[in-house]
Amino acid sequence: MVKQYAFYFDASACIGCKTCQIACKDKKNNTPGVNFRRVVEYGDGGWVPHPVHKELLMPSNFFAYYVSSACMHCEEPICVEVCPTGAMHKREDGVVLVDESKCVGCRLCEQACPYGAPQFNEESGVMTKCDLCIDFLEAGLQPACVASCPQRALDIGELEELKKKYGDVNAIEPLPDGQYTKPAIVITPHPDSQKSGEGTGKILNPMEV
Amino acid sequence: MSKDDFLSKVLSKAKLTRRSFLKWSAAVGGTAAVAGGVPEGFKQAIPVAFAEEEGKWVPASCWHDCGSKGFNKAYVVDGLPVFQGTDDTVEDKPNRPQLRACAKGRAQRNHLLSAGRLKYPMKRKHWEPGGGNKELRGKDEWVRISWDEALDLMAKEMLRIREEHGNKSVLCVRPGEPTERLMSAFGGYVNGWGEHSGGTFSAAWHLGWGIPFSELENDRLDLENTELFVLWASNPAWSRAGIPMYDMTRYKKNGAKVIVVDPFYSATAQTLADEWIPCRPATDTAFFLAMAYVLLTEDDPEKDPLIDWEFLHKYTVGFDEDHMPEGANPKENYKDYILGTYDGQPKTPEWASEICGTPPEQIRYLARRIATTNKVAFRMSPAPARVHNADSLPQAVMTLGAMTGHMGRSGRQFGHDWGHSFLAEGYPLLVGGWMLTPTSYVNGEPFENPLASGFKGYFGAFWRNERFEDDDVWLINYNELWHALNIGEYTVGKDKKREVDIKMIYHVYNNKMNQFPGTMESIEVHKKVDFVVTQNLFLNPTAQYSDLVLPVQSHWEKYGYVRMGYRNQIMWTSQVMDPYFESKSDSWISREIAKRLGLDPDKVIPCSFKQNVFDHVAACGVIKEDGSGYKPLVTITEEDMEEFGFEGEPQEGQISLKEFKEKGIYHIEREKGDKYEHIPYKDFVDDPENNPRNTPSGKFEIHCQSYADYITNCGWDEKSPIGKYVPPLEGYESTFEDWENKVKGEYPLQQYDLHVLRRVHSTLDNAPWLQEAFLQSFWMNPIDAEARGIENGETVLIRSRYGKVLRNVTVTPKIMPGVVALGQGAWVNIDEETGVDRGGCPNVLHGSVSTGQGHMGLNSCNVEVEKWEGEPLKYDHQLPPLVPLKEA
Amino acid sequence: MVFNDWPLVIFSILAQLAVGTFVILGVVRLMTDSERRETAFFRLLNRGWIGSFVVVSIALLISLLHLGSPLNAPLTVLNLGSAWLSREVLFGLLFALFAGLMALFQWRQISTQSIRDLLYGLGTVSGLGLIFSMSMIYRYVETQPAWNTPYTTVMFFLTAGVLGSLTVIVLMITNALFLKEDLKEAWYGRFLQGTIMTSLILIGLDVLVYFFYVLGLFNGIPEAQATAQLLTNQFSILFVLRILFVLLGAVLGGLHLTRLMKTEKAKNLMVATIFAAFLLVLTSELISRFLFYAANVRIGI
Repeated sequence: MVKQYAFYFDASACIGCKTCQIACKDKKNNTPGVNFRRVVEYGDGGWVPHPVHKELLMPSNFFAYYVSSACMHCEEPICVEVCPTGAMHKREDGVVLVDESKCVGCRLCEQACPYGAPQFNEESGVMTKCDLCIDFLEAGLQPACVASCPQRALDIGELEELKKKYGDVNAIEPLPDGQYTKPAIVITPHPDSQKSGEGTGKILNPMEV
Repeated sequence: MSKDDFLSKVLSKAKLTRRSFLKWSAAVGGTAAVAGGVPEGFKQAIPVAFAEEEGKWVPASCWHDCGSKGFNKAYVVDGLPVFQGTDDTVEDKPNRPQLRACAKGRAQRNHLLSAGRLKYPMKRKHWEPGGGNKELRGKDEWVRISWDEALDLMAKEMLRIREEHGNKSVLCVRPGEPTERLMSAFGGYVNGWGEHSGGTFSAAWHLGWGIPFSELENDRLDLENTELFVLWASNPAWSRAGIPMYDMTRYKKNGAKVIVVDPFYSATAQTLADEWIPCRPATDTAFFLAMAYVLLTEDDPEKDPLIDWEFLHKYTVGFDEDHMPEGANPKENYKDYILGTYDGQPKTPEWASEICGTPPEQIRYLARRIATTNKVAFRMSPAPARVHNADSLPQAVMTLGAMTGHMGRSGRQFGHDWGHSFLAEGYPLLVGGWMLTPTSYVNGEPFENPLASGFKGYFGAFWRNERFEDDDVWLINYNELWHALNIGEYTVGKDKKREVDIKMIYHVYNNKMNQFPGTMESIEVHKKVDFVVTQNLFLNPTAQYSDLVLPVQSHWEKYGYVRMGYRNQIMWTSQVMDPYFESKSDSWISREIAKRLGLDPDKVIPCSFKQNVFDHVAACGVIKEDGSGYKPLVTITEEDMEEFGFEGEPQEGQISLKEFKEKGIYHIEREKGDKYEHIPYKDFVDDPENNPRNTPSGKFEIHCQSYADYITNCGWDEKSPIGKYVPPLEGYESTFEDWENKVKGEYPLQQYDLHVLRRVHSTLDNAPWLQEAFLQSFWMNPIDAEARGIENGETVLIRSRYGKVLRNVTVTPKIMPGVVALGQGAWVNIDEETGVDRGGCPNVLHGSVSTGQGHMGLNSCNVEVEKWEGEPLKYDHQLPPLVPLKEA
Repeated sequence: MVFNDWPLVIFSILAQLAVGTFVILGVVRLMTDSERRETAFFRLLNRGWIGSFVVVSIALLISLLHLGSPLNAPLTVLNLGSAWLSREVLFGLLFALFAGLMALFQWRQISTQSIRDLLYGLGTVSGLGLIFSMSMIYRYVETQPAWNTPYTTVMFFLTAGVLGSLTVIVLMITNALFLKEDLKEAWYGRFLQGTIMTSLILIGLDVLVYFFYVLGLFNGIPEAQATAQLLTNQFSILFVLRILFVLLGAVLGGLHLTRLMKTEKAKNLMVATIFAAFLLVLTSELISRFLFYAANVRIGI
């Protein structure tokens, strides 16, 4: 029995192609505006005059990288804590699920979750979220996003095993510090990745996430 | 089976909750039509759980011409694709990676079932034989008509036009074989010639650099030996999704260094680059000349060897006056041109820097880095070659490769990718599909268009041929097509024009109004002719300006499709769902029109679609173990043929027919050092005497008279036999009114086109999920934005000499100052009142600016950008979908 | 920007108004001896109890509008163990119950005064519990710096006090005018004065606390600073109006302490000014609450 399922994400391999996002959308048949997995681009940079040829401009302090983010199936899920009906719950294997028959649609979990994981479905009036494709998991397949990644930047496994394999980074900018919810995620940072809370860049594609 | 039975069956099997079921049926019930099992529109919000015993995976085609290849499959429950999957048929490992699909592939289901699909044949309300009110094209109402009515009126009008104006008045550009066969039997049609992707690389084989249709890249396993990759304007993260980017990431993780040269801090650069060197569009040749200058002036064979003189002397001609091809003017050598011996202008880094915007020391650095690193793999995308006067670029690139000796050797390459998976990394190890034969009907006779006699099948007309001047050849260059039709005259050769008067345009699965330069002229042309017919899946801009629109089936609705992947995969995809409403196959349409034209339909379409798919499957070949040729891939037995209803001969292969059909993909596992490794020119470099290049000198021709003659004879530009830098018509220099004193002109910015993740050229532009995930953007540097009082996200007007386009701007430092970029392929949407394109189509801005070879020279265009004071644009996914027919 | 939280703005303000009115009216009642509880003026004050019940009921109904699946609303009390929202719902229902009974008993003069004292006590506890748990919902969300602060609780209570006291003032003045009694002479004049003084002090605190709240955001983590910048940039007009309106309301309310209160002629003006004061303060609180929901920058993505 798995104690705590977790995603693995390799920021040094992610090219922001959003295949995971679309594969997820397709698997979950989601309406526009609802994306259980999203790809955020973070970075900065500017242009400065060349020291000798003043009319030439040169790039300065450039960096940018992508973060593919879904529900982190946190060890201390704030969505579960604030949920008034108990619709949001955590299974024994760590998967955080929403029981749509219990959800009242108050959207408090949406406002609390620092990963934007619970999302409101206008048509059904309830919160929906990544369920780690438990139907696939139970059939021995990988979640749609993991299986889709052309860059092999996503994986799934037992949190402790993933930590042994890839280390214990669980937050890079623009993700929040791991202290808030103890996210079940293991990240290989991009060489330019910045520590959560200490970033100098900004989200570069705010309209797309 | 009634609609409700169908749905309840699907839904109960998919174990939906009752609530979900009610939602779905309510959603679908709104429009009440289910044709052959496919509900109208695409109903979202209700996920279907995977249950192994309830549905089945069907290998599903992704046929768009992105150049890459991914494997898709659809999970089908009672005829309805409920979600997609990708390749998991083999264990994933570097020597045999899964062929995973990209975001576009994964949005196929969303696209094909979206509200924008064409359902019925439609006629423009005010069309009459001869055209009716032609001005209404693009804004007239559509009327649903029956197939019989549609085909009858089409055949009748075709006969009238042929009778009154002859076949030379019918334009049909690369429509695909069923239509080409029909139109050939009809007596011929005016076609186009040229190449979209390769730019000036298209005819670079004259130099001995490559062969037609090859991408000059080493095998993916050989590139594991490379120490430094130089990716020039190459952004595989966006334009070569899948294996190529996966491999680049592997090389990088294994320790290779990566330098990216690009006007844009691309996704590839930000993920992989150790260094990013910006360079303005259309100025690459100058950069290369300066690198050659650095090597020439700093080379010291003893203390500081930078040039591989042995390579130059042994494998090339034309570099210096002592190594000129026969009959060439010795003063016209590359070295003296670089040094400025005769023209007085040494091609120094400072000279180049002023043009390309790269600091001189970075030019020096890159030249030395390439020259002093043992194993360098250089890859250039064809984007810089799609520029006016970029005909010298292939020579400049090849020459630098030869100077540094990074050619024909392990881990070393100096090449380009042309953007096609089946051309990559050398000869394919698995062959099949339409690449196999000159006709897509494996056992049929190749067609021949009477107005392009001598050019059989598909591959006749990528390059100009002297025969183009003959009376029985009517081929118009793609790049100038709309301009030529607008003025009634096209180029057949140097100083040779020919009058042309088109009365009918027949578009089959294309969007050439949008995708050829000069969209505004194209609209003019479409409003002049008598009759425009479009066969398509969607009401794209070209279809919108038509008189008759015929809905066709996608590959998801046909029996099957065989297509090559990269070098190591081949796919056989199958039918996923029933045809969408009244859509028909192209072959059916051709047969039906043939009947009405009094032609023999069996001659036009020689065999059934299903039998042809089988013929393709049977013809698939796999490389022999020793690499000496191909043997059959698929084992086919008498029982198979009986069971599937095919005709043919039994054969022995590597995989059974059933397994291939079920899995849909066959991989070859590779091993380092196997017989299939491929390095371009290795045979020539190893043994130049016995494996000469296909040039008069048998060597790489830095001075190449045949290349110069070819270009000059095309009729657009004069070309020097060596690769000189000539400023393009719409490059950086032309943004100035006064170059000497640096006074900017009316169009002070350089615009170029990016291949974006949202779509494949113009296909998939209307896929709702992709619209949401990838906004149609316009990129601009903060310095340029600030100078114009423009803020991020605002709607801006982009003006060129040819047209005006609106977009919401993304202000980002990722693009060089002075340069702006649009994603190519956005659907043009002209506002009738202002004449401004609200869709963001770059070809509205582009005129028919050609390369010397006649291919599109649009990848640098002078524009000005200003804040739009009118109504701001919504993003595409915020607009209601373009529904072809408002039904009562 | 689409703002989805209007029902929450209105619900929370109305609920707090109802609780404030209930509590302050109770204080007035407790300070009134049994004889005077029989006066016409005091009877008329009973409209306040009814009003409190009606307003909290409306507030609870409006809160349903915020739910995607209102039919599941009964389930919201299931997670009392960890969710403050469950506790809020429970306290809200209890308060409505006690306020309803209190209104009924006062209006119909049912039961003894001591039972009503008990009802008042229960209502006050559940009302204050309602405001406290309401504030704790937001304080608990540690990813929202605009909410995750003790100021949230203080501000919610101040809103209740400010709006409650003003409601009672409006009631008193309209009662007196209706009865054509001389405010200067009447026995309840000191009550009115006391309530006005209370409301002025509360308004002062309200402004002061809001000032420190925003200051705290400016000095907080980056997301808090971004929140503060939203307030002073994008929402600057509303931000200014929020302060301006409440201060104007205080001035208009304060007038009743002095001259206007003593004249008999300026009836219409009195009604107008006290209603204006009430509406200005109510609007200010609504803006404040709108900003509370609209101008927030959550930690994370």
